[in-house]
Amino acid sequence: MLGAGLYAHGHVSFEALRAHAAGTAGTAGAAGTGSPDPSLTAVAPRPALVPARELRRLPDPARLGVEVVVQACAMAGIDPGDVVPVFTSTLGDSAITDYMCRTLAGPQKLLSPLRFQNSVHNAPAGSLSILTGNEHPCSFVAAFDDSFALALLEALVLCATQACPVLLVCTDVPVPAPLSDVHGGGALAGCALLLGTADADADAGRSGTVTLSGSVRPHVAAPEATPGGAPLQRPATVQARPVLDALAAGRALDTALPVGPGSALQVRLSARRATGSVPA
Amino acid sequence: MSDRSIPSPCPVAVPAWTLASALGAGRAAHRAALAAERGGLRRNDYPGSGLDTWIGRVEALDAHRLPEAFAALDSRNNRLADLALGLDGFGDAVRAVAQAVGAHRVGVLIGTSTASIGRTESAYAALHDGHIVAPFDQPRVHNPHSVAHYTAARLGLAGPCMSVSTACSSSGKVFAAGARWLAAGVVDAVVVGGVDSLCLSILHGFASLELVSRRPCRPFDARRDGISIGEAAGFALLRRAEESDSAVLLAGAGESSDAWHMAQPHPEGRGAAQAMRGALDAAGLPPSSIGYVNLHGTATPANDAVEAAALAQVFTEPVPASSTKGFTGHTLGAAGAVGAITVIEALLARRAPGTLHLDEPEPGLAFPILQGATDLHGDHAMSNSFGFGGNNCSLVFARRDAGPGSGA
Repeated sequence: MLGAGLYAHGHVSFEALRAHAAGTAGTAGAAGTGSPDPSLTAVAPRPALVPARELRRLPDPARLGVEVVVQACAMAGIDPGDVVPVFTSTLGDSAITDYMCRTLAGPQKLLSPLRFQNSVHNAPAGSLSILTGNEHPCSFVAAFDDSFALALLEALVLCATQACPVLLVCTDVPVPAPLSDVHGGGALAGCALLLGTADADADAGRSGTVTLSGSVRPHVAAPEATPGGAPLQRPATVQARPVLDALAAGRALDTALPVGPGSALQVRLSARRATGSVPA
Repeated sequence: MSDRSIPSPCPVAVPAWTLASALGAGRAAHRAALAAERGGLRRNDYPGSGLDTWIGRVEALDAHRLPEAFAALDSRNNRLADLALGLDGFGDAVRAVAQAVGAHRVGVLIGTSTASIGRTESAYAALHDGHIVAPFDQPRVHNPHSVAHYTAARLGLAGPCMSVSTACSSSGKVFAAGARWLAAGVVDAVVVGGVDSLCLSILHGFASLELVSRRPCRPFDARRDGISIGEAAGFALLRRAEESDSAVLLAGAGESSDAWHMAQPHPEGRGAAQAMRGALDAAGLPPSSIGYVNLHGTATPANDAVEAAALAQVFTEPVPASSTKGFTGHTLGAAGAVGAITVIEALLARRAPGTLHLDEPEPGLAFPILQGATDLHGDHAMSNSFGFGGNNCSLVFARRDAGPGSGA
């Protein structure tokens, strides 16, 4: 683990989550430091990387993505153009989905070209690639309740073949009515995890003090009661939270994340090494 | 510039594949249509659209319904997937492999751009007091993962199940991702594919960008003026090369990003050339070994000019190349899988398809683009797919005749 970024659940940065974890654990800092404040993450961030003129045109998922990517890369001292990105979003940009479906249900069916081109699921990844000059292959994955787990699996598989770090990015945005009838209201949330490669030499001098590993194994999940109707339980950023919490607290984690109807990714996060001075 | 494409852990065996598009349902229908140069485009008759354009609609879909047990997952996209899974013995081949290695060792990796957004449009058209009501109350349908979930459920697979959604490169990239999963031991077999279906979002969205032609699209023609939108489903089964004596191998994959513009290709085709070079490098092949390239060739003025330029950067000698978008329309998220399967079929038949509706070739192209079908020489061929966000993927497939283990 080389770095992390967060803009979710009342924490405007991974640093804030760490301060909160330290405060609640009573190990460092004053109690209550970094307590989550949902009003802080109610609106999309304004990352400094994005010129003000372009910020107005940039949809919320892209703003979230850029913010957490910049945080994670800054923590590791790595240029955001020098990572292999793997993005995930459970539902994509629900505001644009709502706009398009509403417009198309009307008589005119005249869509905004800008909003249409931003309706593709990989739009936040395209924006990041353009803003940071990142020419690396980039994937954008989705897997409903298991979106974070599959993106993490993809990132771990890529780590084994890459010469530069792999950056996992999750973005979720609120779901407007009437889509919220189906999926619930959701929340604005983004997080990123920067994973070093298996090539230790390539990461020399920037090795994290925490290691993350995973393996896929059989996993029997409870069958869905209603095949078409089981509602969304875990948007990507919600499923990611235990990993981020353990990372922030320096705790070890050993947990199974479902990745398919009968299989799970067993994720193991080591505890922070006592001698470590590198943030993650 | 250094090559930044991911080297794919190839080769990988392709023991089964199938597809459905405007050309028909199954491999034989496609072989026949391409050989006869009989296109599948028709005047737009998609319900509720009225847009003056031509589309590639899958006719067999009109009468196709999901089995009762899956009715709660109903959408046009899932019906299209269901139709294709029943063709060419594909579903049975997958179930046999699952029986042998265990259902939890068989994964699903589907590329899609539309997913079931057409069903969400229908839900909005049928709101009751502003709310989404039955039969549209389908959480598992109104999301980008709908068709991968359906595919795994329909085939009874229990391994990792993931959707890749990078616009029109989506179902090229699943071949690369599937090869990585096999190499990493995540699965012992994986169903890859692409499924995109006609919907208002796509028809009127591309129209808003003024990228839709009013005629059947004319790739690489001097008078080309935009795309014809199509729908398709294409599936392939991937296994490790040493565990299957398939007739065809995925030899290499290359992926890149343009870092240029959301909806326009890099003007010099930098990312496209990187993806093609990456695929050749991953396959360990020189450009001269490629006997045919199935181009992305959408028939927009920008794509075809840039792709031809990129082709000339990678291939120093002319290479037989064509676009089959004039036959099927641009099937968007399914285009990568349709292109891959077109290349596989071309390698086996030793026959490269031509470019339908290419009558006045764009002047000044470095290489001629195939107008009619021609014999395919050599054992390797390439398929390109490029998408919004500047997302590029190139795949190289190989005949296995000459190699060891070519029994079946």
